[in-house]
Amino acid sequence: MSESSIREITLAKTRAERHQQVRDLFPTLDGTDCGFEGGRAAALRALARVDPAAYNRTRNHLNGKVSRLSPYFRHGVLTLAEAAHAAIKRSGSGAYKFVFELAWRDFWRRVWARDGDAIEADMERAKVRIGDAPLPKDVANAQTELACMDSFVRDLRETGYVHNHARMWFASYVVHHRKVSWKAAADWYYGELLDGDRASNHLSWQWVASTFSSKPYFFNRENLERYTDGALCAQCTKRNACPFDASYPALEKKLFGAEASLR
Amino acid sequence: MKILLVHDEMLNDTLPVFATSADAIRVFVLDPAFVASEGWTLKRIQFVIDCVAEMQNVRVFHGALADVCRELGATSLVTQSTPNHAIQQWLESLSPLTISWHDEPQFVDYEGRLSRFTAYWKSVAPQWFSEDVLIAENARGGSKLSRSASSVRGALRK
Repeated sequence: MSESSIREITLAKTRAERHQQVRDLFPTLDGTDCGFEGGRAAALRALARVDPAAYNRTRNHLNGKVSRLSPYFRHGVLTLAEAAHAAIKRSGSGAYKFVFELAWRDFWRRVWARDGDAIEADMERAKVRIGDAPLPKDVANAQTELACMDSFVRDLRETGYVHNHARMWFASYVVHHRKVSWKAAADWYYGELLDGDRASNHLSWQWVASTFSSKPYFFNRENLERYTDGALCAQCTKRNACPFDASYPALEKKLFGAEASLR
Repeated sequence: MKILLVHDEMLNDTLPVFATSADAIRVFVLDPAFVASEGWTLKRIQFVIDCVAEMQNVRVFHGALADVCRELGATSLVTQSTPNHAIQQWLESLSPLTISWHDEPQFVDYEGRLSRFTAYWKSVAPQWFSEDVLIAENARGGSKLSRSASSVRGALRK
């Protein structure tokens, strides 16, 4: 490659101009502009807004007081340790849950450091039957007609950010209901995420699939309605044929059959 | 010529590696091959560039990393360590350039097993909270990881 293919870039001062610079540098990439403000100053402002007590009470709700710090952690703009120190300074023991959740990210990263690319294959034997289907187009294109899942995919593709609970519901739907290869789904999801890193993303998909946990993760409609205030179900055209509308024992039998009783 | 390569996991010039390599030229490279291999979206590149724009004295290049290093006359390169094999392999293209990896900041000190999060957390939580807090949280079930769907832990978000 010749040296003429190298170009030094003076980044524009305004965000809009910089985003156009990126569009010009990567003309084959399409999609929406980034809605998250990058940079250390924005990260510190976001950290200052974290209310550990409210996080503790509401983080599982889609409209809960989550931190939205993950893009900053992923890119080293904030460290986990400084976020933990800030939360504890602000709320003392009330920061327990927040720090507990930060620790998950550290745990995944340590596993990645230990095992390297091995995290991209099954870490353990699956505890239930899982599938190896490719990612269906209706899932990737938000056309399942399930208002919840389609909404989660639109969030992903439009913003690169999805609430944690929604990520778990979605992964469970894809892996256990649609029997898609967790790896195929995780690879696709990773590319779309603003905060995607292989440790947190791929190992979390394995956690849901049961290849890095003792049981599969699955949920029912009651759970989803509770943490979405029923808003997504209310607009769902399949609300009367919801695949999640069952008790946990019934769902377990439906998803995993006879194997469910073997665990 | 010593280069401090700013990769996408160190977009913060308050990180220790920047202080210990004050004599190096700070370089961030948008390498199309690397970006393509990672499958980054437009919005992700924009986010990254916004972070870089705020950093002090970072020269930004578009092109192959090896070509940038050659153009700058690099004789050594320092960067922050990472478990990310994509970054490690990217830097392998620079052989035989001397590369120094500076430790990334640690969340906790931990040398134990990594089989399950619960065991890890039980070991490291005292680095953040007093025994009284941990006893109280344990009594509330705060450190347990129930697999019922109503119990959510932050695996996919953070």
